[in-house]
Amino acid sequence: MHMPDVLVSPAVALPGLAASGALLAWSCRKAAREMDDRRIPLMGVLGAFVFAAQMINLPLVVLPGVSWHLVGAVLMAAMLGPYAAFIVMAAILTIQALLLGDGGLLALGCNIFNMGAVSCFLGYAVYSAATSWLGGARGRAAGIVLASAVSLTAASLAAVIQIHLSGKSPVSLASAAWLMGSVHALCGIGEGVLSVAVLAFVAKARPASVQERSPAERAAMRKFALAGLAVSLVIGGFVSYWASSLPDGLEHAGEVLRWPFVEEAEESASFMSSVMTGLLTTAIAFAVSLVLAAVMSRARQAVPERS
Amino acid sequence: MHHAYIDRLSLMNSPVHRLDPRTKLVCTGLFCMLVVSWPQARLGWIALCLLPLGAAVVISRLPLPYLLKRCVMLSPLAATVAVFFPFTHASGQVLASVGPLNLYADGLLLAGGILARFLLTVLAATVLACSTPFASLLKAMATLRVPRLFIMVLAFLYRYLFVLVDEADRMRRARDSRTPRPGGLGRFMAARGMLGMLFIRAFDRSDRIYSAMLARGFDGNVQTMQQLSFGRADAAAAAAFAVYLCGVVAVLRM
Repeated sequence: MHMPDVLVSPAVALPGLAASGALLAWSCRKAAREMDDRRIPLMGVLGAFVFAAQMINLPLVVLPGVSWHLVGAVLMAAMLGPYAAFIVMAAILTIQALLLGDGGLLALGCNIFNMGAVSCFLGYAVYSAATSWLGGARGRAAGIVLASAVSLTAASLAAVIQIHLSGKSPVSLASAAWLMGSVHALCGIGEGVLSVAVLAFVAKARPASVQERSPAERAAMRKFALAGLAVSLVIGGFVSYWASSLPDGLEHAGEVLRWPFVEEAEESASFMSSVMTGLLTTAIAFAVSLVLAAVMSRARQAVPERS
Repeated sequence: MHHAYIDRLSLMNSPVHRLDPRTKLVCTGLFCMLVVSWPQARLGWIALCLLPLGAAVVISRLPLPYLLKRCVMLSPLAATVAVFFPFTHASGQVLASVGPLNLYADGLLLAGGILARFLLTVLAATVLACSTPFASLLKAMATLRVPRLFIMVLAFLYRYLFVLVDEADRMRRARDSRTPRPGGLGRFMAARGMLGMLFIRAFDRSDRIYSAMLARGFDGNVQTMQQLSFGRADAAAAAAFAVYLCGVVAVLRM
């Protein structure tokens, strides 16, 4: 998902750099205010952990031959809070771009926006909404799965939109969005389930590293969730504005399923149906992840604690 | 893998290696900008971009085969996108058709342009990375007003990256030697255990690092001996690059 420089035109890359730079400066100020020096090496080493964790590939059960790995943004946001997590993700992406050439220098802004800001802030908003609604271990599990699915899908859609705005997309926006969105929704659910499992493992071995939140913190989280949901509504509106210039969403989806790369852009765009397209993808991801989270937390309660 | 391995090229000595990292960072950024915004109609002239890049490679004495190998390793996404263009960009002459697919001439050119631009930008970034130690890049970023906290996180991330990647590698080898044919759920549970253990080790390690930092008198700032200086060579390199940029823009305007 790291976009190289060629896929992003300067008209998209420069605003992306500016947006990510501003977000980074803001996050650094926020994070520096609410933490002690102890967290500086913690953030760096956990960044290295995410880097190493991305090397452990897992097969995608639904699509044989395709493998996925942990992205780690939502896991970091759940552990460190959104600001520190964003700084860690931005650091990982910067190193990948500067040192390994994975993702371009100009596209770094867009990459940080998609895989850092969208994943951490939107993911954290969804996560805190779910935990303040359900609470406890079950809420945390549901929140992480939901947040992973939503944020990964949103990040892939943001990348698709940026490539499309740069005029570098070989297929129409709708088919690219469907392809990328559905694959990443699946990966997101896998990512969420794996993150919950890892977090449960860690909580058992080092309870100190996974702290319960105080009522004041939960109130703050609820405020954050409201703000985050408002922002995602704005983003959603923006996306559906773009989607409204597309051919009929559901009809097109049918075509995509038969043959993914049909190149025909009939100007019969109906606004409602393109909005439906977006909502449908998200709703499917939501439903599946909710069911999974419920099953998982019930299974965890049914099994008596070993150790 | 050790950071000395990645850094071994950047620790060489050449006029390019000796340049101020800020000069190299800004020039590379401008170069990528030039390549990316190169007009498709003048694609043939993109060979002009090889001029500064070739000069940098030759003067720095970096091994070209190694650089190219790294670039090719990074190309899956760009290559995937480029593969679609000849079939979906429906304009120009149809060169061939296989079943429902038509191969368009303009699309082929577009795909070629994307691959050429991709190679040029990635090669430039690779030359930058291979001619500048990461610590100098961090120092350059610090003087370019990048937030201090971000720089410190980058420094720690870089330092422990190789340690944790090695640890993950050992775990993976241990798993592979014990599970010759992993099933779906078994594989998942193994990944859970590996990631959890890796996380716990990272978490504990950061505590030890913090103690070590306090023992060495950490006061919220990282002190380094290195001083950056913008010298005569930098001025010359920057001037040459500026002349080149103006020349290229003039050629493109013709």
